[in-house]
Formats: sequence, C-alpha cells, structure tokens
Amino acid sequence: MKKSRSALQGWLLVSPLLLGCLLFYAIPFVLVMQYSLSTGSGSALYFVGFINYQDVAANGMFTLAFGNTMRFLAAALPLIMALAYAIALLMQKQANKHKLLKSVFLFPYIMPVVGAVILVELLFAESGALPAFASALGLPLVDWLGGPAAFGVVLLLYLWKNTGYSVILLLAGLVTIPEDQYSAADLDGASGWQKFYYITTPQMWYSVFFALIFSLINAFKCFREIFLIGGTHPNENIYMLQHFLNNSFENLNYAKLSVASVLLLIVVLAVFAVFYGFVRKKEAFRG
Amino acid sequence: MKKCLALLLTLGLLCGLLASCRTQPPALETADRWVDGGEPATIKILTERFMWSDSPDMVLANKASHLLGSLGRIIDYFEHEHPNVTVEVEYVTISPSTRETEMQARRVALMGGDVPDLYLMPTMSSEIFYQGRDMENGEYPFVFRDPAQAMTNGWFADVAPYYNGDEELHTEGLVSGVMEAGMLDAQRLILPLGYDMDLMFLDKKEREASHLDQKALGNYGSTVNHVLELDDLRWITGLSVSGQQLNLLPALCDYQKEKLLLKQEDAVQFLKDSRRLSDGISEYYQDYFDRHPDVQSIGAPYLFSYLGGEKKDAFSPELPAIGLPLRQAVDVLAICKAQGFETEILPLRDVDGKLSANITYWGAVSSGSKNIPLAYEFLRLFLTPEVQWGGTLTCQDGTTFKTGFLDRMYESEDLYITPGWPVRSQGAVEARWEKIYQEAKRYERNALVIADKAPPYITDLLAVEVTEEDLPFLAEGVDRARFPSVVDLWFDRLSSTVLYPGLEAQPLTDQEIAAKTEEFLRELRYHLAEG
Repeated sequence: MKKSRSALQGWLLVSPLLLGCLLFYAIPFVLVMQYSLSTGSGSALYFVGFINYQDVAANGMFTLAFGNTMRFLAAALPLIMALAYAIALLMQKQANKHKLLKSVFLFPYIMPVVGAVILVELLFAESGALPAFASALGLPLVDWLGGPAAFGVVLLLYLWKNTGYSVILLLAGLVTIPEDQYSAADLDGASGWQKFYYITTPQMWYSVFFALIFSLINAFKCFREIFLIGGTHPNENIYMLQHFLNNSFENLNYAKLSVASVLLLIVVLAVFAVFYGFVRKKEAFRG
Repeated sequence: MKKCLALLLTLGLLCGLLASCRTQPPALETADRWVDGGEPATIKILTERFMWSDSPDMVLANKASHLLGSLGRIIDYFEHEHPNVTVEVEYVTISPSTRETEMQARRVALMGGDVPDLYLMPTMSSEIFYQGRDMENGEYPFVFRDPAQAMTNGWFADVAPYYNGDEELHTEGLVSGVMEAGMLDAQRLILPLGYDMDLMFLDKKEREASHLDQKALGNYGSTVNHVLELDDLRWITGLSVSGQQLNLLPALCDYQKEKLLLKQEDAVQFLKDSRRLSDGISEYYQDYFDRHPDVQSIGAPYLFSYLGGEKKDAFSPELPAIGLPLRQAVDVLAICKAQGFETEILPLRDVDGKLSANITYWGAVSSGSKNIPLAYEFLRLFLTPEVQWGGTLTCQDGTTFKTGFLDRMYESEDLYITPGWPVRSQGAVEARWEKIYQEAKRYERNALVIADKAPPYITDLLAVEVTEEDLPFLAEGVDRARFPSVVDLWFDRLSSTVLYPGLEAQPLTDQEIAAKTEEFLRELRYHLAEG
C-alpha cells in the first residue's frame, strides 16, 4: 500500500513533465513521421509509403548535407572530448583552488552567437587578420570562409566555443573520484598512465557519456554560426543538414523536411544507443 | 517487461501512423460542379492585398486594399448569389518591415495543417518584382516562393475533373500555352489568371525605309545581333524590355525530376547579348538626350496622359520603336492609330525563337480544402469574360456587380483592368478597345460641356478602331509560360552585376561572367533540391 502510494506520488510529480513531453515532443514526432510517409496538405494527407524517403535518399543536396554533418560530427566529437578531457585532467588538482578558472572556460560558451561570428569575420574574412598576415608573409591567399577551408574554420569555432563546457562537465566527474584511490595507487607504484587507465577511466564513463551528449547537441547548435557566416547556401563543405531542413521549410516542402528529420534522428539514436550500450557495460556505471 | 512495453509502444506508434494515412482517391475524368443545396458553407481564401490590384508600394502608399477593388466585388457577387456561403479572406501584411515575420508564421500554420480553401496569388512579376528588388534583404517574401515547385509538393488540388466538365467556362477561349503551365502530368493544379510578355512596337513606315529585317528577329540572340549590326542604333529602342528576362531563356529546370535544364553556356551567351544590348541602349539614349536637352522623358505614351491632353508622339524618326509589355498593347496601339502611325507589333522571342510568357496572377484550390467543388466554383469566376476583361457580374435576381478596378487615383473605374494580359485572350482586344472607346466618349462628353467641340486628340481616338487583327501574334498563342519566382530575383542580381557593374568598376570579363553564372546555377540546384 505504502509502495503503491509512493509510486502514485512519483507519477504525479513527473506528470507535468510527461504531459509536456507528450504535447511538445511525442505528438509532433508522430506527426513528423506521418508527414514523412504522406503527400498533400491539411486534412488531405495521402499515404505514399516510402517514396519520400527514396526521393530524399537520391537527393544530391541531402546526401551532401548529411555527409558534411556526419563528417563534422566524426571530427568534432572525438576532438572535443580529447581536448576537454586533457584540460580537465590538467585542472583536476587545481580545480578547487582556482574556482575562477572554471568560469573563464565558460566565457566562449556564453558568448553571443553574433559576437562569435564577428570574431570569425575579423580573423578569417577576406579583409581579416589572417589573410592580411599571410599576405604580408607572401603566403598564398586562402578563402577561409568561402572555400574548402571553411570546414576547418567551423570546426575550430566549435571547439573554441564548446570545449570549456565539456571541461566543466568532465571536471565535475573527476573531482568525485576519491583521492585516496590515487594515494593507494601511488603506494603500489602505479604510473600515471596506469592510474588514469585503472582508476580514472572506469569511474568517468558516465561523465564522458554525459559530456558527449551535450557536445553532440552543441554540434547541431553550431548551425547558427554557420548560417550567419555563409547564409542559406554556404560553401559546399559547410552545407549542413540544418541548412537543408531550414531551406526546405522556407520552400514549404515538409515531406523532405520530415524525412530528413527522421533520418537524422535515426543516426543520432544509433550513435546514442551504441555508446550508451558501451557505457552501461562498464564497471563504474554498474557500481 | 521493459522489452514487452517497448514492443507494444512501437506497434502502437506504427498502427497510429498507418491508420491515420489514407490512400489518394483515383483521379476522375470529369466531376460535377458544386450545387448550392442551401447548407451553410465557408470559403477561406489566402491572398495578397495587391492581388488583382496595383503594385505593393502603391497599395501601401494609398492605404488601398484589394477588398476595395475588383476582388471585393467578386466576393460580394458570390455571396449575394449564394447567401449561405461566406467568403473569408486572409492576407499577409504588406508592410515590408513585418512581412518576413508574418510570412514565417503563416508558413508554420500551413505546415501545421491550417490551410485555406483557395490561394489567389500574384507572382513576382512586373511591379511586384521591382518591389522585391528594393527590399533590404533582396526578396519580397511570398507564401510560395516558387509556385511551379509548389505544384510538385502536393499543395494544390487537382481541379481537372471540374475544369474539363465546365462547358459554361468555354475554356477554348483561354490561351492553352499559358493554362498548361498550371498542369503537372494530367493534373490541373493551378489556374493562371493573367500573363504578360514583351513586345516591339515599330513605326511601319520607318521600318520599311530602313534595313531592319523582320525575318532576322526570329530569336533573342539574332534580334540583338541584327539590331546592333544595323547602320543606325535607333531600332534598339524597341528592345527596352521589362527587366524580367528569364522567360527569354530556355526552360530552367524540371521540378519533378529536380533536374537543372539550363546550361551554363546558354545563360552566359544570353547575358553577353543582354550586356551588348544594354550598352547599345545606354549609348543611344545618352546621345539622344545630348541632342535633345529639352526632352524630359521618353517611352510609350500613357493612355490616361493622352486622354488628359499630353502631347507626346508615339514615334519619331529617332525613336521609331517602343518596347513595352503586352498588357499595354491595346492602349498604345490605339494612341498610335489616333496619331496616324501605322504600326507593326512583334513579340520578343526567346533564345529558341519561342513565344514565352510570364504568368502574373494565379489561383489554386488547396489540396487540404474540405470543399473542393465549392472552392473551384469561386475560382472559375476569375476566368469568366466578365472578370477577365472587366465587366459586370449579374446575379439571378438582376443585381449587378462591376468587376473593374476601383482606385482613387483614377476617375474611371472601368478603364483599369487586370494587370497582366487576360488568359481569356480570345475577345480581349475588342473588350479592351470597347472600354477605351467608352472612356474616350466620356472625355468627349465632358469636353463638350465647356467647349463647342471636343479636342482633336479625342476625336482622332474615336475615329479609329483596334481589333485582334492588329495583334496577329495573339493567334499563335504562347509556346510556353512560366511562373516568375524567387529565381527571377537571383537572376536579376546576376544580370545587374553583368549589365551595370557601376560607374567606377570595369565591365566583367568572360571568365567572371561564367563564374557568376555558375553561382546562379548553384543556387538553382539548391533550390531544386530543397523545394
């Protein structure tokens, strides 16, 4: 009785959240799935099977956008995790002594998008500092924002803006590891690498997973900067899925929009599921 | 337990998805028109304030509204004829500063299923096109950025069964080449309501005395070459076209296959020809104004100005040709005849020698409409002679509703008809001439009130007649028609860069033109893929 009453209280507490998720996520998701399998408008939606999926899969711009997005994720996520982890490890011992240091890492993250774009333009635009510097040295001019190098610029922008946030998340996990475990390892003569591999890593999987998810979300948010730099149709190397989705919306093609959204969701869910399954197997998570 | 729950949820999701979808009903050959059974009904229309009206900036400046104009009276007629039917009109703000935001909200609503029964829309043609060019962001946003593309995305209902069975509409009187633009496979999704194309008006006497050979004007390229190669440049004045040029190029793209049809070399050649033409026009006019510093303006005479007494000859030895759109043809031809000029009128053909037109207005029944026959019943009114040519719609009880445009700027509400040439072209010339004649008679009556006789320019106008034989190319019909869209703005930006590089800048080289053309084609590829 007490257990069921407790359960009821629990359900009541989460019901507003569940209702919100239902109204603003679940139902729209079902509608998006419906649109992706239909043609027509308003109440006159007609089922057409997977024709829309076939059309989108054969769409050159979609494959370009999808490829660029996956390429960006494949480059950005490992880099940001490696960089953030390294910085977090370096800061592990100093974190509690220098609290201001943690705040400083968040400055790029909280910087307004327009500010970040202006900075990029000041550095990389045709009249920017870097081309001027390269020209002064007699180096060949590179179109940093309008050519293939734009991909690197966007990647750099993403790393600069979001590494600090991942550092904070990872640092939060690192400081929870008991210091005496490291002391015991020192007494046993463990090397730095051994301490990292046998003590730090098993207890950090959950934090790493958490930081990875947020980095993935922030990777998609990077579209705002790319949009301001390159417009609706930027250079082909930075033409992302969000450009395709945004422009399909402008052209009132919600079938393509829905299909692209569903395909993106499938990929993200697949990545999430793989990594989640991997993390779950780890000892520290079970513990 | 969890796996069972997950499986049940997935099955529920799939069932919900598939159950909510319906299969499309089979297409009918013909269908019966809507019959008024007396039950209450509503037609919701999504339109623009400058639909069937003046340009956006004029409407905004005059605080005018299409509801005050012809569209309002068509609605009044329909509601009077069918008292149980209510016509609700919705339009997006015309104010440039808030239009973008409102347009986004409207698009979201459309995507969410809040669709009207009927779309009545102008295209990016003529004045509206120029409005878009002046916008800060370079685009005057429309609900449908590209109507031809929207046809492939399932937004419009197929009205072919009603159209095909509508004997009262006499669809044989409509220009088939223009009406076909609203078809996709065998479906009739859009009904074009007006169109336009560029014409060359030539002083016949001067033309016969010159070396201008009509046979050399078979396509755009040969026309430009021939006119520029003549001993004198004066015939170039007949090629001052409207500025919208994409209809002079071959078909741009196949929207269904999302394939770009326009070749870069064709576009580059067209731009080069246009640049030569533009340079020639600038050179000629500069020279003309240097020799005639007292001349304030040149161009086609304006009917209202003519009736008001403006003395402006249609032609002169130095200006023996006029370039103007089809919608002004009858007006200017009437003035030419009244002034004693014999005129030859030639349409400006595209690069392939075809007669191609830009559609100015269109209407379509929404695929989400709950009463397609009723929506079609209203839409078809726009193709009737009374509305196409401006006249009077008469109800069964004898009540009449005029369909001419009412504007505070003009005294006469009868003279200003639909911007664009009517798709009901058969009989349009005579209908337009009749209006001009009646208006001239009104001016004559007014003049006789204060004087013994009417001014000679009025009597001259009343002594002539304009018939369809004066515009023989109308009998040819139109080879193809297109819906101006956001693509026209992009091309205009490209051609402006090529034609008008600026006072200080050097003209673009061939490589630069090719590079800019490739950028335009790239935008077009994106547009095809994303729409």
